[in-house]
Amino acid sequence: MRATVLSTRLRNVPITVGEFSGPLDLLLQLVEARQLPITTVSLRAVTEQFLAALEPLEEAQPELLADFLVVASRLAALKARALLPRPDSPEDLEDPLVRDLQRYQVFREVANWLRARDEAGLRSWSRPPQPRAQAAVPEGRPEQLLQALQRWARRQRPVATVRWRPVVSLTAMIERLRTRLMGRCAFRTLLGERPTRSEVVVGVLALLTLVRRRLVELEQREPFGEIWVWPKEREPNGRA
Amino acid sequence: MVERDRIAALGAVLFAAGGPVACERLAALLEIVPEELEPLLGELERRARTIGLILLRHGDQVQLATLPEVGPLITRFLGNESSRLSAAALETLAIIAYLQPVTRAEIEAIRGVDCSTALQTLLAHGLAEPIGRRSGPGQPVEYGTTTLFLERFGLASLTALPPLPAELRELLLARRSTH
Repeated sequence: MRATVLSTRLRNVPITVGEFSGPLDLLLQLVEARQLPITTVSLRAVTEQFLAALEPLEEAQPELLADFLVVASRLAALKARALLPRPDSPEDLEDPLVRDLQRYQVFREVANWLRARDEAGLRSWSRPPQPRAQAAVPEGRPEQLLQALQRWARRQRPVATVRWRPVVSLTAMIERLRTRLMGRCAFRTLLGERPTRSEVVVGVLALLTLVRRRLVELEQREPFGEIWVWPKEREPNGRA
Repeated sequence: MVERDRIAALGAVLFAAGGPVACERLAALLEIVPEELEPLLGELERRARTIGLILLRHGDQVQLATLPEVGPLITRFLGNESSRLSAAALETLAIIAYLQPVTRAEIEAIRGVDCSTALQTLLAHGLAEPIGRRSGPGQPVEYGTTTLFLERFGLASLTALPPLPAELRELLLARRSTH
């Protein structure tokens, strides 16, 4: 659709896509290059050139392509209408694309006007703004700073102390019981002095594990009574 | 305070401020009603020109700045060359200047191309800024130009921009009223 319909004359028109700042910019430059008024007719005339410009764009800037394709499809529709043999109705002469292009042309001229001012160095300079309100520096002595700090410290609530009590693992507790167990002794003495709640819980679990593995034997004469523990004798005939 | 002193005071305050100052604030400072301020600013503007200064007017903000015509001389004196804006950024800036408050979608409808990069450039240079949100679906951000824009292009106010063709102005006004 693109290159095949191009005449050799149009082919020779150099188009560099990178310089255009949008599809309307490209379109306007194509129209202006032919020194034609922006009318539906002149837009039809540059359709092929515009479509040809899409080809390098496809590879160069795919993200721009969609914007160019929108304009390209409108141009193609214009061209198709022109090719169909039917009398021109008045609305055909006023395409929305013509209006859009005229509107764009105005702002592009303003942009050029701004650029010309910029290049001519026509600009103002102002002083950097002053800070709105400079903080007044009150007079004072260094001791006042210290006092202020102390007042602040008094207002602070004491930081709640966090006690760090690591929980003994079952494996570690089993190891501990086995090294401490010498002959028959009370379970409570194996736990050491003032064991934590978690130490007692893990200790009982460890004790039960040791019993299950048939490494120790235990005895408790009455509920909540003293638990007596001793290493199980490994007898060849195996009582257990 | 006699009027002559008021004009001098106004000039002194604007000089000390450096940046833009709201008219309301100036009136309150001089203890006059805002309507009385306008003729004073007009006279200050006339006097400022005699010492190479102009008044920049942006919305209700006033700022003292140097005469645009002296721009090349000052640039040479300061010795710093400002960076040039791309065609895309200038077109976007032109659209914002005339149509503010304007949304990104409206700018893109006119330029027919994605404008996010150009807009970011303008925001980064402080030439445009978000000035509000359009009521309606999505509440898109509305952009406007800054006093730095006026300064950068040597414009005393937005009215110093070239006038739009009448038919385009009508078209834009019609568009505005439908919003």
